[in-house]
Amino acid sequence: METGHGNYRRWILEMVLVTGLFAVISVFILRIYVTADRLQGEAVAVSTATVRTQSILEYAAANGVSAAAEYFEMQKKDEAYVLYFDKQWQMTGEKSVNRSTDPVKYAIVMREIRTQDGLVYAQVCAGDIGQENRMLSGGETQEETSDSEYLCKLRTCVRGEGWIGRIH
Amino acid sequence: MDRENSLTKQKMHINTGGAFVILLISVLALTVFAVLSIRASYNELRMAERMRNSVEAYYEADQRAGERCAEIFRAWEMTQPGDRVEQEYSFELEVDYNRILKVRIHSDKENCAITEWKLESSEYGSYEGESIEIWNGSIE
Repeated sequence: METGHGNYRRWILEMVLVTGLFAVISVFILRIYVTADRLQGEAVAVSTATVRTQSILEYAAANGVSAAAEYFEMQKKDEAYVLYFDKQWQMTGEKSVNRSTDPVKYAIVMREIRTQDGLVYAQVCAGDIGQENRMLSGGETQEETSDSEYLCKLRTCVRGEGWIGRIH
Repeated sequence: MDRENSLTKQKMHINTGGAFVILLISVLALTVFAVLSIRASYNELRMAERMRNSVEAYYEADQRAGERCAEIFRAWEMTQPGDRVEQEYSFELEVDYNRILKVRIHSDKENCAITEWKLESSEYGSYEGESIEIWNGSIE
């Protein structure tokens, strides 16, 4: 016949087992939630980058690259214009020296490309802040192999300054 | 004495297995919600990428159209004003599977300008000229 004490021991053992099992299973479930959150963050980054890049490019195509840079208050850096954003896609100033406290997460870089036959192109590229240097230097060559790593990269002819024809 | 003992036993009786049942139900619920949330996030990412690809495809066509227009304008500029005739150029560029970019340029002796820059649905993917079998509502 089982005693009350034995019953209590069984209950404690069951609780320990259940807690242990729950701890192990919850690690896997938590990982699924973390992955879901990361995927959602990526989705937001891609769609926000696309919308922002497109609006900058449209303005640049119609009015010229320097006019677009002035309108969107972009910072001039080398031969390009840059906008910095934090992880919530809020505009921030220039990135700080200390990377650990740096709120800058994304950058949008706009460049003007002039060809020998007189055409002017505007190229707007959005990506992670780690890709800033590549966005600033590269882009002249369309055969860039790692384009897909950017959040969005758009390029078109500028119909503003330097455009030969007229739009009716 | 015996009665007292059995009362103590009754008091100390604890149902075992209940915690396992609760664990099973909560793990099942958490797993279902986790799978649903990862599926939703994945679909959202795919949708965002599709939108990005579609915008990129449009601007690629837009750039090609701009280059072609520039060629036409340059040719018009290089023609002597006396040799210029009233003309209409038009061309279409494929953007992606179901979109085309239509451009029309009108030129005369004094002017050469774009008169149309239009994104349209292409004929691919439309049911024009095809018969579609639709259930007529009767059960045979």
